[in-house]
Amino acid sequence: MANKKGKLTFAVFAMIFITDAIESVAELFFKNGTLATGISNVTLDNVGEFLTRLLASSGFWTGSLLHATNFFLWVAVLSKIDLSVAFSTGSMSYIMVALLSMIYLHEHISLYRWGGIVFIIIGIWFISRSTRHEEAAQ
Amino acid sequence: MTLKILILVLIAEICNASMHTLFKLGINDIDIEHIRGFKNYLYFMKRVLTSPPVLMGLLTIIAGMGVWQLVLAHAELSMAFPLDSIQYIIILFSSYIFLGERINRDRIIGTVFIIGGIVLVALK
Repeated sequence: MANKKGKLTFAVFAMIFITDAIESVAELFFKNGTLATGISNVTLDNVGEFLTRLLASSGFWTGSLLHATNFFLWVAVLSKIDLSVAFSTGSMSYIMVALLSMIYLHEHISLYRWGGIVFIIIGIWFISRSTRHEEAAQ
Repeated sequence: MTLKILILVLIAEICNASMHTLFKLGINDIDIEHIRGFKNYLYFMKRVLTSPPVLMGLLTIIAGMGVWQLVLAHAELSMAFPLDSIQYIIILFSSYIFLGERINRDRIIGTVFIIGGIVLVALK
């Protein structure tokens, strides 16, 4: 088994950034799909009805299509670096969602949230540093 | 948050972590050094889509997505987000145990910062 590990280069980082962006949008569509069912409390009695309505919603299918697109990009990322590097770097989606909700939804970002964003950036910096002795994949 | 949602979130997270580990397991088996060009990428994808671990990973994520839809249907979603950080611990362990990745000190420190960051961001 060839273990594919490589440096977290800018190109790989950019690929992870794109998969994160697509996934964030997919989550919004999924949430829209569940809202479209009009069922806010799923129980054993209405789970069948819930799933039928979910499968009829455009949000669910758009979200699924975006996830499928992401798969083709994500496996290319995994061919270049360790899973423990790729997955942790993907946490920048939390920063994206926070900043997007500030810009587009005019949500207030609390001091806690800014602190969290700084923590995630420091974390990704350490993750990238952990690959510095590996070779850069082309 | 009820215990039911907590258990559902955990099941969804274990499914998701299993998917990533199975994908990587399948990809590590493909004897291709670096993807060069579109033709090479198509060959790589053909190998990926016929890899048993990858196909098993796709099955786990279908199960995980079903469970996650049930979680999304509950209003207390914001409470479920800090729990998302558990995945980073599961992935770190599964990368070490099943994929043989070398986990050095920087990677552990980085993951701890990220987990702390996610909890802070989710607290609002």
